[in-house]
Amino acid sequence: MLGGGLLTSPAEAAPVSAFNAAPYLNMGECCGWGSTWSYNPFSSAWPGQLNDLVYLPLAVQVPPSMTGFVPQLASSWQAQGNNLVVHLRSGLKWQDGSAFTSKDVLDTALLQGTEGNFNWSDFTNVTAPTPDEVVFTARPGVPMATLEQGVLIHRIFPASVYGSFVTPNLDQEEVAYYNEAAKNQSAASNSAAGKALSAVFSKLSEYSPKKLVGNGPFQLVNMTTGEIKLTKWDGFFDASKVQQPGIIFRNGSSNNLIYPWLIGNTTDFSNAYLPPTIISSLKNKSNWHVAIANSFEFNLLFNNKRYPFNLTKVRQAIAYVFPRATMVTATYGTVGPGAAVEPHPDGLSPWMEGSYLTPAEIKQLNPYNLDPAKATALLKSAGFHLSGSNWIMPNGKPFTLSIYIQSSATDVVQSMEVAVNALDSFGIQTTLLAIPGSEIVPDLETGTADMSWVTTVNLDPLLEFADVLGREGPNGGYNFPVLGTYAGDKGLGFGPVANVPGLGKVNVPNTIDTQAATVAPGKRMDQLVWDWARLVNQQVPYIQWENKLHQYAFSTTRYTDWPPLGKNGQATALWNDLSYNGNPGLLLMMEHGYIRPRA
Amino acid sequence: MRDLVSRLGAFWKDLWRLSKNDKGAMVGGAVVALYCVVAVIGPYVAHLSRVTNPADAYLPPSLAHPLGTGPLGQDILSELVVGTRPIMEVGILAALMTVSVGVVIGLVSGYLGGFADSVLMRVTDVFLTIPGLALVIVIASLVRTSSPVVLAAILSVTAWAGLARAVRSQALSLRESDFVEAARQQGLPLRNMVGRQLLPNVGPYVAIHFLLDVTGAIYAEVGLFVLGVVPISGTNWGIMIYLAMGQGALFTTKSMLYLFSPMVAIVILQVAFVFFTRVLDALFNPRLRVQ
Amino acid sequence: MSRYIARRVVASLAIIYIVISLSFFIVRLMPGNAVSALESQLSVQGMTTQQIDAQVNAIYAVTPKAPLWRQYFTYIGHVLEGKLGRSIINQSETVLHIIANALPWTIFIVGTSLIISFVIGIAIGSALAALQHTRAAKAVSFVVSVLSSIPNYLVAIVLLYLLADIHPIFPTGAAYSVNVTVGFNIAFIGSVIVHGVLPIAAYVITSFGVWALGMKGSAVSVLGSEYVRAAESRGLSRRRLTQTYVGRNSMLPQVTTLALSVGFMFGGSIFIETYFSYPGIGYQLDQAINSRDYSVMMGCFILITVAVVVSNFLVDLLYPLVDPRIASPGGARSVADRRAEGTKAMPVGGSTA
Repeated sequence: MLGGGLLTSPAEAAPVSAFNAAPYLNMGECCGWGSTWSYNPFSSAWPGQLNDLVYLPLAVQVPPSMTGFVPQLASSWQAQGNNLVVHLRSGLKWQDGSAFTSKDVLDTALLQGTEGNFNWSDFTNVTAPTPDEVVFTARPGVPMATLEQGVLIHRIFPASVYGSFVTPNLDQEEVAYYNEAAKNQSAASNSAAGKALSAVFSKLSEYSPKKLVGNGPFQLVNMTTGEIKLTKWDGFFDASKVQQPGIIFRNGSSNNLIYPWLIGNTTDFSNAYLPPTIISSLKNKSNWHVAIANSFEFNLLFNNKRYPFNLTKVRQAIAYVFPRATMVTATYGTVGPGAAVEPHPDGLSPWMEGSYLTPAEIKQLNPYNLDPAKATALLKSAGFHLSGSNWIMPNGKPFTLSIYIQSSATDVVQSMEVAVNALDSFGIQTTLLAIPGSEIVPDLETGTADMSWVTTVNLDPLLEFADVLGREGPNGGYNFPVLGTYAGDKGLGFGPVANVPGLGKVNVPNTIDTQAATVAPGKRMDQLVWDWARLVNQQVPYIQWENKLHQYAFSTTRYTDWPPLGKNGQATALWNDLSYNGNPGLLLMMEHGYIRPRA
Repeated sequence: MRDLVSRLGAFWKDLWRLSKNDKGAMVGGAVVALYCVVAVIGPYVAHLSRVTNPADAYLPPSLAHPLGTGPLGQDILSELVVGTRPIMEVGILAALMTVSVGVVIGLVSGYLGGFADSVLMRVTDVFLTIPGLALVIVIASLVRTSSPVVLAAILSVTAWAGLARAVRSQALSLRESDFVEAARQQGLPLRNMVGRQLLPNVGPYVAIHFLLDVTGAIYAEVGLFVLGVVPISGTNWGIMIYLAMGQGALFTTKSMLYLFSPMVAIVILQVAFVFFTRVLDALFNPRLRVQ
Repeated sequence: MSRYIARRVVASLAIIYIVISLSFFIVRLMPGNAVSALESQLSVQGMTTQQIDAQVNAIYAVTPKAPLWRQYFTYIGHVLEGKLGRSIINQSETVLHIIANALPWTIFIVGTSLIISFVIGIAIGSALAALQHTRAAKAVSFVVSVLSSIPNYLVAIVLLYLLADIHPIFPTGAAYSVNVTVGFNIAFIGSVIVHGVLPIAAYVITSFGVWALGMKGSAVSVLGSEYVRAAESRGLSRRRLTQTYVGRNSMLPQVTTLALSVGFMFGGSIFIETYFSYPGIGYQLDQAINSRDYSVMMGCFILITVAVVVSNFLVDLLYPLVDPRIASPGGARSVADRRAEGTKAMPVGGSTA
């Protein structure tokens, strides 16, 4: 039967398109989509589920290396001096029959530039000399590897639909705007070019197309708040490899919707977080398997400008009391390799540590294993004392701590409760406040909370640091923002001038932002990673308390030939691609011919 | 004053007599009383363990853990007991606010009449029309509070209007009655008139309203937590349900108790309130008393 | 009569105006000012200050830097023209369009549930009144009281578990399946019906009891009233008595409450629709709250209130037809009066709240 679970009622069994005797791949989609969406990929309500399955990127980046790509719409690319020349796959068509050319790429770059996208900060100009060639000119100081990363991962949208939004002088305005923005952001916004970009963006974001014209392996059939139905498109360049007649995404807007689909076998695949109970109940079913892949970092950011968290010893003491091992067990249970992953609090994910630091260096990092005695010693040396079972600060007031996290992630709420218990019994009166996610940033920036939860995910280790220690900007750091609503607030409030091991006294947010934008993989990057890792590890501006695991549950009832798993369900390359990239990883699995309907 | 005492005495006598005839109401009253006791002494008798041990997650019921354990190995019964106070506290506070605002506005409006009455009643009309739940959810999500007083105030933001209307119409008819007229001719101040003369007469109606307001506030409060629009901090039944749902407790047999315990606790309390109301209803409504 | 209507129109418009103003001030003045929250949201998305100002203007129909009073009048003007701005999350949709898409589903769910629970409730309530001293009536009465005091979201959890999860009989998550074509065809209608079963059931289970108890109460009091006793003593037949006197008179307050509930069930739909992910107004409101999409949030709130005002107004218009006493100027009482005075000791399952 088509699609599985939802279709058990007679009323719905009827309309099945002609060719699919095989079932559509049914995906229980974590976090899903909202009650309103737009088929306009420039809109923030664009359903991300359609990414890469309908609109292809130029290339897919494969972790852990920063320089590995699998070509998609681009067939190859090479550096010529200051230029990155991208050659496009020839003979491709869009789903409306028009040809795929360099104009599609050019228009996409121009239009995404109006919303501050497509990494225009990496290049000064883009041109399309021939129908299957696009040339990006690197901004002075930006290494070619950074430019490649910034450009190739973008999805391309059809000029036949969006070309009409490109105003005659947009290319020059764009160049002028970004040249100015590199020097002075607010002057750029107020310039004529900036206003022209805004006008284009306003029009673009209000456009609401009735149907989708993509060029990926699938074509959109229909979408409701409950499901997205995609059917295979034979015009896709690698269509012969794609095994699925179609895909049904089911909206798992909260995880508890997905669990019964897994247990009741009405879905084939899920990317939702699986609590220990669900994992163990899936373990008892022979058709279910779980792939476990490393993913982003969970960090708790201190309000470094507020007393007593401006004291390094206090931050270190708290790091010693955080029961990270128990917290990880509370989230992932003892099943699978999850329990084993307990990162060093150095701002890097475990696999990054291995890629950029030597074993000798890693050994020098303080693991901050649970040690209340060390925490006690640190607090006492900072002038704190115990009164009964509570710590009193040198100013005579009780030592309290407030932690703000996102309420929608119940796994995080749960494991933070473990931490609160530990901090409380250590004598720090801790309150946990779980609030809707969109509110975390204002609290963090304006300093309402003592500690706030922030996640980071990057392939570039310097960006991983810049995402927290940098200024608010293209890299999204939190330290002394200069742009937007929080300009002038302190945010993380670390520094701004601090003594960074190996670098000496530097302006932290400026330095890390510049390095993240200009340093390519190599010796210098390794050296800098070691410097910043030591800073985070020694001065603890934030605590990296967990390495999030992606748990992919897949069923062999209707579909077989899933990408292989390593020992203990440990992810192999394709699963890691999925974990880092999301949909592009799925695309790679399909291009490898994986996930085949059972005969 | 003596009048009030004798009234109260008669009230208790009637209450007892009627309760004896209505077992449901009696049980309801007893359950409500029990919940109140738990809310008061709960945090002193039950202690939430500060030591978490995920290895003890979802243990079946035993002597040590009569309702089993939760996902962090914590005792569900203790959590339930500790979580009683925030719920009862907010429910009762909200009902108190609703009733006091409603009664004051209703009595003053009905007693003063004229222009003041028109103004107060137009305001009341607005609050009566605005869908309470929608406004409560919108405000609660914006204000972001974990203070019981603020939460109670939000919950009672529109609830008072119905009561104000009803009290006013009772006050209007009382105003015309002989004893209020007599008091007025003696030149008693407004405060006196309202407090001594009018209040005791609308008392019964207000008492019923109060109990139903408690159930309404608890319904909305737990709902806010279950929806996840208010901050999650500390322990109460709504938070327990929210976390249990999020952690998939509904879907495995051993974890179900973690979700169902707070659900059952709420249902029992709500049902008990309603049954308890029935005896008051019978007490104050002689027509119903004959049935 | 025309004076009566005129007064009701003025009163209704006044309330709508107040609610629109309220929605403006809620967004502007609440802690965590929504406009600055939007600005920060947009700046996180990497927009420039210029773009942010333009966006804020498009979304809230206000110029963020203008003085408050001017923003207020601009806003009121826009809303009266039906411009509720654009969704923050989805700038390619107007709030009006989003609401227009959601509204039919809420009307379908709320309307159907209301009719079903009213019919069941009245039937059970009359039976309870007629058989009031029997053992069976007491037992049914007990069950009805219990059901109507259970919060509807808890019933929703149980229904989801039993009928959508462990026995996946009824689909959830949408108003119809992706496999049907929207239009007047059997497959679509069938799909809409099966998708509506669970939300409707959750409503009916928690609200029919309110009608049953209300009907029982008013039937019992009518039965005990003087004119019924007088008619009885005149020797009218039991059947005539039940139909003309008791039935009609005890139905009257129920019909009033029914009309009033229409508006109020829109508010109650938040829990039910959210739990079943049913794409009506309540679900939109919940989603808007969670994503801090203030323009959709206030749009839904205004719409829900307008629904209440309009249904009150309709009741005001229709009531004189049912009860001619109302039409006389002295008796021109609004629905609000009747509602408040009719406030009875009734359990709160939440469905009429």
